[in-house]
Amino acid sequence: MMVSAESLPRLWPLIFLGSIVLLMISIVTGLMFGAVPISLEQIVSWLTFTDVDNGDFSHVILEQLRLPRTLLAVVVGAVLASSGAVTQGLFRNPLADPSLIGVSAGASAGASIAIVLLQPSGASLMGLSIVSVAAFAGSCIVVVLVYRLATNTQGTSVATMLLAGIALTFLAGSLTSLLEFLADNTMLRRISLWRMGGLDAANGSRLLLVTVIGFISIAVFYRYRYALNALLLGESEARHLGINVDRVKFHIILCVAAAVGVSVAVAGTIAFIGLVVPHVIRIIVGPNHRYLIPLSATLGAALLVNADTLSRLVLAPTELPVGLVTAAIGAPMFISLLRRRSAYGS
Amino acid sequence: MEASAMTNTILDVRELSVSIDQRQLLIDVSFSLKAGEVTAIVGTNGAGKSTLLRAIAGDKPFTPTKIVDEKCLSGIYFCEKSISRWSQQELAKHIAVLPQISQLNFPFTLADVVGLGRIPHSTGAQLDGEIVEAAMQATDVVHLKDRFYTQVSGGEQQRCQLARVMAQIWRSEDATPRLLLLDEPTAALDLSHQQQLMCAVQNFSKQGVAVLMVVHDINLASTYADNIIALQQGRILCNGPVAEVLNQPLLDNLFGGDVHLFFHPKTGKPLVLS
Repeated sequence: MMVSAESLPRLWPLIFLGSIVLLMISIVTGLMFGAVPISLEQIVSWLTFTDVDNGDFSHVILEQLRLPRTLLAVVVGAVLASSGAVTQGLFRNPLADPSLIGVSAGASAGASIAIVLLQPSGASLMGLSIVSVAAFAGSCIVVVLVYRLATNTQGTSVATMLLAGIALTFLAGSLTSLLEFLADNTMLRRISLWRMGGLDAANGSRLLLVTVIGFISIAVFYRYRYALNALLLGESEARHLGINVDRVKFHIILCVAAAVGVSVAVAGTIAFIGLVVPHVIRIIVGPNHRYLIPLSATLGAALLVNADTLSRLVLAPTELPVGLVTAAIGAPMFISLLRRRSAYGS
Repeated sequence: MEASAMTNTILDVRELSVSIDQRQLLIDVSFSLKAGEVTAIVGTNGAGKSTLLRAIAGDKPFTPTKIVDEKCLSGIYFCEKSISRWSQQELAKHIAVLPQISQLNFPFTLADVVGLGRIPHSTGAQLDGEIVEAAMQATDVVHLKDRFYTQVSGGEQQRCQLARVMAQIWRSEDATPRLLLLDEPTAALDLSHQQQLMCAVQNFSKQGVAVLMVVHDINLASTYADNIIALQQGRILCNGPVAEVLNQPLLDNLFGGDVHLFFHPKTGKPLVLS
């Protein structure tokens, strides 16, 4: 831990405020940069409604494109990172990640089915394209199966869930591969682009959907912060501390599946955030979920916003898939922390 | 409630049977525990010691076999009320359990781990901090409180876990009566810490806590426990105060030949050697 355990409660408000400020700066940067640069004055004048339309469409770009996109990055980043944090806590394994229980594989299979077999036109449901709906359905089906497989009369076994998650990930993966084999070139490109993830499809209704589900889920995670701490000791230990372990597990899995499922449905699979961000936060403030969950959410959001900004800048006006950028930022950061991890007690 | 207050009985186990997959692990086990007393469960490997502890702790596969009993007499009663009718949260304020092994792979500090014991209570950070400090003092880990759990030795982890369960039921103001279940608390400890720890447990019980512990070392049981319950193949072989129960016939019965009873030259307590 970089912050000593003793001074953490005292410094916490400062740390959390700092992460919010960082997120705000990231959002403003995200609004400013892109194919068409927008100056800070233009953003301020747009915010204060003193915007004069001088014909450069800056407010249209802000309202229609950059703002929904940046806010979507905020919510998706917060959802992925905090879901990663609670999944690692629930599985008592620092290498766990929502994709471990099959969310991403199920979503990929669902999206591939939609792209190859349904050949979607422009039809949509609640602002979501057919591909997104299929991806969400795919992730839900896989998680439900994993959960059912791991649950018997004696409760839900986390170890079985992990194994069932791996098995169903492979199963969904082979289905996806089969569909790729059958697909023609256009479909192949669509599948692979979808899988790399992107926030360019942001719009108001999608943003609203992800925000509502994401907000509820993160609130549920935070509500179970002490239960998750106790679960790190082991399940029966948590039970002896008065925690209704089966209910906590069910609620957390449900929220992870819904929040990550809907994020993947609108933004594709964005690698690395769910795994790496909680790790980095643990190195900074330790494993206590009281601090881990909020800080994962804010810094996960900041990381994805910045990654998205970069993805628009590197090859402008072409956009890189944001998943590439998160991995490119995250991996070196993670490696440098790994090299020093013994110093922080993990 | 009145009867229990008079006799001071906290836990009443009546004709308890436990079986898993048709294998009988405990058969007709009955005994009771009083506040302020330490009771040791002894027996060979597989005699059902841990099963008994885990059945009382309410761990899932070890729940009692349902017996059709019109008077509903068999089962585990805590404060005269069947343990299955207590809510989990309420029970956690009264009963703390130290498991045999604890895996914790996350770098909590030792003080954080002990602090987890205060989860069932809402007594505020200030008071919880004092209790954590006092419990760590009792098990001699207070000097390690800022070290990471993942970086201290097995014995230190064990003492930290004991401090955690003691912190869980530290104050009689938070809940009475209190029961501490320990599964081999001294397994990973050196001799001096074994003694220190058992003394801490003994002192803790004197504050009105009933302690039920599984121990392998029968000498520790005879030195620090008030009562001994000897289990053999899931049945109680004998049950009573150490001085009455611990004798050569019991040892012969429990461990076969070659285990002999002596008396400690200094304390006069029973001493078992093989």
